[in-house]
Amino acid sequence: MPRLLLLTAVFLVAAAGLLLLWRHVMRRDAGPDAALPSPVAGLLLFLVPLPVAAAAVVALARGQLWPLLGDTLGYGLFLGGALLVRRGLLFPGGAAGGRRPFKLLGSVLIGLATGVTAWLGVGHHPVIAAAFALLALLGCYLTYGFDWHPRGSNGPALSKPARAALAQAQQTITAIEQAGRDIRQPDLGARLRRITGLARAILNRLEDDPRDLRRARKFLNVYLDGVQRVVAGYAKTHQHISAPEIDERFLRALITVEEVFREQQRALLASDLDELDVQLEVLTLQLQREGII
Amino acid sequence: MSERLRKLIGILLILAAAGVASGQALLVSCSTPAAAGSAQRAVVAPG
Repeated sequence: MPRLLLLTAVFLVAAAGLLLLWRHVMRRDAGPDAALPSPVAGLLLFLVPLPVAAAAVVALARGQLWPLLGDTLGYGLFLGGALLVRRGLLFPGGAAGGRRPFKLLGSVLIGLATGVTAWLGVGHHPVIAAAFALLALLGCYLTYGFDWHPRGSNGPALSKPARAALAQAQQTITAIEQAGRDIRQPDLGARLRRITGLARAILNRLEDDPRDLRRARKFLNVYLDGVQRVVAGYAKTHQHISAPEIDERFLRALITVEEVFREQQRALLASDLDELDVQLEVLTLQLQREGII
Repeated sequence: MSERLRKLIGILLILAAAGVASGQALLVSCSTPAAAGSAQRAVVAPG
């Protein structure tokens, strides 16, 4: 009876957690930030294998060699796979490093982890373990999709200078994020995260369709660098002094940048290059007024 | 197939495969050493 109660409680907690996760995912998909990576992206893949880690600890305590090996290997593969899938979700396309199919690699690891756990950790027949692995792989595909694009199947290939420009832009975004970690104000930090998310989404769009790259060079070379300089300067100043007028000016600049990045993304999605040019001119004026460029 | 349905089926499959394998691994480990073998057999061939 106590075991039944415990199982019911575990089931209810798991069901409630899943329901909350599902509602969060669906709300995001319908909201204005749908193009931005979620901070809880791939969380499910970190939660599901937790019993395997517990099983490994129990097997160690009881001196069970094979379950220990199976569970440890399985959990390691689960963790590696979850990290890769999360990376693929946060940085779709992998602009900085060419086309690394993180989601595909992570999903394969998750499938492998499931198979190893079922085979060595549980003791299933290898064929049954393989069926577990295939089911997990299919689940990952349906939930997260694969990011493997055979060469030439998804628009024109990236030239070397284009790849270099995108990699440089990616580094600039990373620098903005690093500088943003020194800013202790939550609202400014959240806005900065949204801006870097938008910038990454724009980069992914440019990587998918490099024909837009020529028109977006100004965005890559001027605006991202300008934002990075301002954020780094503010973070440095913010460590030493706290001046409300500087905070307010910085917030105004961030609001402007976010609005125009969002417009830029929309214009790129709509392939509206004339509007893109207009938006860039507007951004130039606004950022000059804010003293960013 | 709509995006929502695809994700829902995907999550259910992950839970059915990875979740069940994880739970069974914990169950097997928690069984006493003498009963571990029978727990494994019970998992492999229920009934």
